[in-house]
Amino acid sequence: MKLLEVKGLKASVEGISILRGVDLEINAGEVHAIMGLNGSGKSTLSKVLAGHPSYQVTGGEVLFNGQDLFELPPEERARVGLFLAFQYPVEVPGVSNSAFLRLAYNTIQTSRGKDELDPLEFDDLVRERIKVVEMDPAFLDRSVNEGFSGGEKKRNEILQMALLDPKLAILDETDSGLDIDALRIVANGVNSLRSEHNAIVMVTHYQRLLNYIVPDFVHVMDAGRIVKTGDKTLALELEERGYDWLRAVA
Amino acid sequence: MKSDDCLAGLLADAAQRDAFSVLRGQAEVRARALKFPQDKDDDWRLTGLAVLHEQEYLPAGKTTQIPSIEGFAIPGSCRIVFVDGFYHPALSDLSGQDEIRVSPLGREEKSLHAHFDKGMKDAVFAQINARNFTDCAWVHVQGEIQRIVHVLHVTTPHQKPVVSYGRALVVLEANARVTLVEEYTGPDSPYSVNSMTEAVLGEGADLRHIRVQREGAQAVHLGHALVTLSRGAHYDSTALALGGRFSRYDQRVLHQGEGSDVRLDGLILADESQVADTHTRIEHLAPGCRSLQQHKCIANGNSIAVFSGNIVVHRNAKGTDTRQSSRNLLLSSKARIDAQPQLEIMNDDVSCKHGATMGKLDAEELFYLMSRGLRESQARKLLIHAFAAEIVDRISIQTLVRSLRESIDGRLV
Repeated sequence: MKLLEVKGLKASVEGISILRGVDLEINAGEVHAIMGLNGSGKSTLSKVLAGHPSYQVTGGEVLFNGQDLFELPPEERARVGLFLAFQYPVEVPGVSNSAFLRLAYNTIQTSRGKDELDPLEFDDLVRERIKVVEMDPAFLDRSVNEGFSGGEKKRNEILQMALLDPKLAILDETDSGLDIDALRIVANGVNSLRSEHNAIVMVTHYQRLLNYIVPDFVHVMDAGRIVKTGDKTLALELEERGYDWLRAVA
Repeated sequence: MKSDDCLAGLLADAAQRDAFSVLRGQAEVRARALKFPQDKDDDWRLTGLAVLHEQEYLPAGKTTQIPSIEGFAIPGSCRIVFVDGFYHPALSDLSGQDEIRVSPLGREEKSLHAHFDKGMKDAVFAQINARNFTDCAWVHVQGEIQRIVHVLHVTTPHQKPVVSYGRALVVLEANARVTLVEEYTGPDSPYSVNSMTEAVLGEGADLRHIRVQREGAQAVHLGHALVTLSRGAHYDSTALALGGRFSRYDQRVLHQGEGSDVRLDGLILADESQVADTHTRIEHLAPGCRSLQQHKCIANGNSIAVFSGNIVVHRNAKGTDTRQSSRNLLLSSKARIDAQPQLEIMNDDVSCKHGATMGKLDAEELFYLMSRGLRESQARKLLIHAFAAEIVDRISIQTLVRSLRESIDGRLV
């Protein structure tokens, strides 16, 4: 089943064209990796899909479950099952992590016609799900991401993914800033959430994450387009040869 | 109305014949000499006084109405309620007092008179209050037990706008402790309230003072507080200005005793066409005192919020330590916030720090919350609450915090 269809997507930020015609198709049950150098447009693609207000879509279309994604504001995209794990998770001082998680969870539940959980019920749920990322429950009582280390922020992102149960999760450089133990934990968390009903897109510079979360497809972006698609061996080849040989082809 | 007429109107009330008639007479003389404030006056230029000229207010009389105070009750507190400026015995609960004595005007301990009306002689509305006050909450604390004294001012609906007066004197003997909650509320029709609260802290005394102004939408509120600290005393104040069409709070704190300690927190939440102004003045008159001030303004709609925070360190106040922070959140392009931290330092053995910030809601924070399914309005509310929480959450009375959150929510629709 086609989950995401990106056709000729063009987008710009502050008048500068970044995406110059991206084509991508993702089916339920698949894991995709998008690789590329800094500035190739891979993070922009994630933010455009999530609806970040700083980016303007200038061409092409995106269908999510057959629905025009750009007709939906960011919160509706989350409600229909799109999730972006941020490269730099935002600190929200004064908003308790547990209250935020519960509000987000209940909002999504309601939009799916399911019952909300009261604080006690939610506490049980979140303490169960938090095990997925081996996160200290003390982080639930703190302000959202405030003063969290890089690794703790990324775990908090995957905890949100575990709670919101998205159809498509885009992990934007979730591996950056993680030491090898944290990387393993986060990757295990993501793997435990994989199913034939959902799909995962990993945006990353490096091959090492792909040792833990093995992709079905690897795409290489350059200058705002996907210039090559292959299987997991493409990532190994990139690790060995760098990106230059692809740029020459493009 | 012209300014002269405004002043004449406010002084036309029949002078009360009571133990304070001499004091009332002196206050009238001072009020006439001070004149009605003008827009060009330094102390008022940011506020805009036009609204005070629009309306004539009749002195409120004793009412037979019994307003509902449901939703205001604080469990376990000693409650004194004033309706339109008059003590209301049926709504009050002065029982169970021992180390704390609370009385209305006429039943007070006469020894307290020595502390009455000891300052703000340069503030015209404080003088008008001294001339016209109809009642007073006399609070005398001798014990160290922690108990809440709740002073509630309610204005009732009237056909013609009325002005009523609130007055309180809180005296803490040496090492006494108490929590004072002052609240102001009323209907959404036009009226005016003028209040004056004096607190005198003996050596080592500790006053936690929570002031909640949530007047009705058309109200004019002119509030004053004067707090004097003896050696080693501690004053911890949270003042919230949420309601009223026009509100002003003048708070003055005097460090008279060595090593006294003050914390002043304040929050203004202004929306639509509200004008809300807080002027504070902390005077360091003795050595080794500390003051920590944190003020926040949130302005939405086409409201105006003003914070003027003055800290004066006198010549002999060596070893003074003061911190002041003013953080402000502007929610609309038509709203205005004026934040003015001011330091006057007259000796060089001091540590004074102050800072002010002005910002909008953070777009990245909003997007982050929305990317998790929250509507923009939900996300905005959450962030505004978070901004206010730093002030509101220091209040440890849970029933009050809950009702304040609802008040804040109600203002952010």
